[in-house]
Amino acid sequence: MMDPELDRNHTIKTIGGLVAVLLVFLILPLFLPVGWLSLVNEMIILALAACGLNLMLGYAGMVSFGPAGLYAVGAYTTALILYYTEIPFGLALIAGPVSAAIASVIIGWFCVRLTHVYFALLTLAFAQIIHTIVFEWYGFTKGDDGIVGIRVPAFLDSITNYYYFSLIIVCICLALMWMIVNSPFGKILQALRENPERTKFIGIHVRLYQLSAFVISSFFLGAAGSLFCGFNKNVFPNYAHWMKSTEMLVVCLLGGVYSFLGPVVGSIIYILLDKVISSFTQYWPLVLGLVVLALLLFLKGGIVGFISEKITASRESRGKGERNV
Amino acid sequence: MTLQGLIIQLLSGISTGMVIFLIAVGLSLVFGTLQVLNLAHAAFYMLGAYLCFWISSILSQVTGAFWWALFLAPLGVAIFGGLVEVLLLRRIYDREHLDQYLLTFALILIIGDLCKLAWGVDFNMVPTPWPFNGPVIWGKIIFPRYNLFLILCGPVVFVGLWALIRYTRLGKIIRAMTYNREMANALGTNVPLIYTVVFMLGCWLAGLGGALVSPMSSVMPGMDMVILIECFIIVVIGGLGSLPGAFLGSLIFGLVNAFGILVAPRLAIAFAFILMIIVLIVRPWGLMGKPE
Amino acid sequence: MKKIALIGFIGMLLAFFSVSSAQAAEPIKFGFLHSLSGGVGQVYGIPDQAGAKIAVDEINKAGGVLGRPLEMISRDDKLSPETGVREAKDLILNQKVHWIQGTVSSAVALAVSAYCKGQKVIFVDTVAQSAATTGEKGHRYVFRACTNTTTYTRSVANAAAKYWGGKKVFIIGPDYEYGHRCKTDFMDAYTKLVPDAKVVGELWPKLGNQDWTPYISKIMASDADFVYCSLWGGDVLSFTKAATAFGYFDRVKHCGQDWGNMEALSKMTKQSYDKGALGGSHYPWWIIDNPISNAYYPKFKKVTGMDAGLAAASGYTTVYAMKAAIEKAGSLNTEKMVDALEGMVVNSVVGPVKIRACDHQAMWPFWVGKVVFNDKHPWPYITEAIVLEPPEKGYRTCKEIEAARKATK
Repeated sequence: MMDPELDRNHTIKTIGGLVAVLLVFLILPLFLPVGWLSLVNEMIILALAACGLNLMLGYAGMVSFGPAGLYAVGAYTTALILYYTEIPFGLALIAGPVSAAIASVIIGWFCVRLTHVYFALLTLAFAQIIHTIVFEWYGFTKGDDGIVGIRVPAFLDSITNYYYFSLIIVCICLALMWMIVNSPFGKILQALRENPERTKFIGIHVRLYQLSAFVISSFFLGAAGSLFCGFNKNVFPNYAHWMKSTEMLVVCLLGGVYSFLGPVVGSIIYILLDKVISSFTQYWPLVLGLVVLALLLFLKGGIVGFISEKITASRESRGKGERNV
Repeated sequence: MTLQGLIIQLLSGISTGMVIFLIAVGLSLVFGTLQVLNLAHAAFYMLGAYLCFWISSILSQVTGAFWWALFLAPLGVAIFGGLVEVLLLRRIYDREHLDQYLLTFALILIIGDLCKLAWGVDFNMVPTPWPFNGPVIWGKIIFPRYNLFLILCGPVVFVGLWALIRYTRLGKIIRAMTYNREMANALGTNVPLIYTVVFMLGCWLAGLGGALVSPMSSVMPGMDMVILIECFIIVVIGGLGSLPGAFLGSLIFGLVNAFGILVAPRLAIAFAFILMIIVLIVRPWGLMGKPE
Repeated sequence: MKKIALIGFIGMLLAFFSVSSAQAAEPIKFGFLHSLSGGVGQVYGIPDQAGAKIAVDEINKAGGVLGRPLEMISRDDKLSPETGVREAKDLILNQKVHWIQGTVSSAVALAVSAYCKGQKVIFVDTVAQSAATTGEKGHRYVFRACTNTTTYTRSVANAAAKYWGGKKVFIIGPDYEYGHRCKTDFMDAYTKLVPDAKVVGELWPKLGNQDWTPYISKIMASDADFVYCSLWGGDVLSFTKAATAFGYFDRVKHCGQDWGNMEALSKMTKQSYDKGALGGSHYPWWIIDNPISNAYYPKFKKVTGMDAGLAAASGYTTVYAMKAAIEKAGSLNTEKMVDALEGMVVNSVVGPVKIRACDHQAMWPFWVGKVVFNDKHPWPYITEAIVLEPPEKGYRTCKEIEAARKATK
């Protein structure tokens, strides 16, 4: 099992696989109709949000009920800057995740003092406060009329171009997340998830690490929000609604919270399901509920976990077979 | 505001409080004993309201139709809840909290659409039962009879539950389990059975809340979403798992709401949230819960 | 391993796309985008869809438009602007519809309208009432087939002034932009008729509120002369139920634009209805007497089992209006259709309705009357209805719209 030869092959296969996937995404616009490309764009932005959430959820074991709040902070920051000022798009875009991170320092400081259900409920409460502020402050945020017709630079005003733009940003963010997760910091987070007491005993300041995870997670959530604001050229208070939060949680569950790219798979499937189910029936909540149930009961690691298991099992049996020869 | 006005607003606040207590008490009980935050609790409440509407319209020619519905609807919800517990909930007790939340969330979606499939998407009304229709008029004070009835129901349910927990065998077991689950298991109690019973009790209470509240306004799709967050707020303020806490939390919520809208109509919506945040920051186990 | 899973799903994606990209050449396709699930919106979405479908069937039976049948493609916006825009994209980019009609949520309407503007595709708002859609945020490609908040606040103010004329007004409305705008518009209109009228109290319950007790008790304890209430849909019903328990309608003068609409009133009972309220209706077919209406509402009842209200009228009329526009333009070219629609008079269920050129708003009239319940009908309905004549009085003038558009950033 610690065979270096196997490990090297594995790494080559992984990198090869990643490059192949990236290539597919790159050439999609060549043969995909624009309407569907727009949908794929939505998928990768949702994937960014879900991966951001998963930093907290899967890696640090912190269940948040309010990711949509920070997502909306990102989206609204970008939207308000673009609406009220002449500041260039790029700067407005970066301001989104930065302000989400700043907000999350305050929110996170309060939340990480709690655990489990109380942590979750407090994150929900803060997200609802954000929703209420955005909803009620009509003079500034335009309330539930939302802000529409947000200006986007001319070269990004086509579906294909914004798709490439999103792809680049999402890939950069994912690469950053990968580095964080595989750094010593990331390893400590996982230790925290597995056994907080033991981690505390070896001198790790648990709360500080959890707050850091919260802030980093919120940074990427805000980035996704800003990216979506540019994509749809609008923002609405329901970007902060708890239904949106649940959507992100379901996406993580769907793909598998214990794998890095699980949420990516989850968001592709979720949006497809959403679209396909709604065109067949008005009872899409029922179908979605049943899908979530099925996943929880039968596919515990999400889709990715399930497939991983199968592949590992077959590899092990092959390995055993070879040794017997 | 005149004195009569203030009295009426006070009564309104108490009424709102008792209504939300009836709806949310089951949530607190289930969390205290099973350590599961049943997000679908409000959906069971809605199911209770729909069952009450359905039964009372089937029996509309029978005298006392509503009272029959009030008796049967919570039983129906309890049975449904029992099935849910045995078939679904049981499998995830020892899993991560996230899985529990997602399961109960899936139940919200499923129960909501099942109600739509069964009873359509219309708004429905349950006739207020005799002798509680119409207002009580006392000089300048006018207040609905039915709301007074609900104000009485609140303490009755509270005392009933309290007696159950204090004096019955089941109650002793519930208390033991809330205190220390492993010990209770070691002492030979049939934990899975107790879990089912308590969950069914929680659903029965939710269904009772739904049936009791149904004549006050309309029975319609989405009525669970509207009060879901409010349920969370009061059980957090009162203390998850605490019965007197749920009662106190509901009263506070009702009064804050009734007087909040007098003072600052546009901000009233946020008051309850802010209260919840303050409680979670300062005293997370609530006013009457026990510290973890 | 995870990468293989990813590739597998991309493959699945591609399979979906290639199958769904097929298009038909013959029928004239249009998009119907509305709230078809999710409680509040369905009250309007479903009858709107039914009304539009009846129109499509009638037109196709009579030979279609320019010899081609109409095909309606329905999508659910789930009352969410995000979903609304996503479905609008699908309708326009994939399904290649020639116009989109629908929506009940003003937020969805504004979002979809902005998108259609960019795509240069006609969007007809059939129910969503925010005046901004054809006002501040109006543009060349958006039209509205029914009233807006200006119309009915003015009509209700007119009726309140005529029948009551009180000076102390209590306002209650749902706590979102629509409710707040209704308050402003109503008071603007009312103070023009009763100059020293003022607001003596206000309440802002959230949409879908269930416990009305503290709100009703506050209203009844106030010394207001009457209440202006902009609650709509299911809230009308649940408020009425709760209020009846207070004996509210025996003691309080209550008015509001949605308190005469079929969608809510047809579900009320003799024990619990908004007795004596001044309610509004977009389509009071028991008062109107024209051949189109007289043929339509029984047919609607027969086909759907529901009584026709605002949404039923609007969906049906819009399809016929678009048919007339295409025939007048002689083609499906969007610019020609827009030119044809501007100034066109549509023969609708409420009589001839002109589509004003400056803001693309249909000059739909609005009736406000006293709610009664007797043996004539199995539900409460409005009588002694008054309507602003001419309908233009219910809308801002072209100059005002222009000024409003300039003033908005």
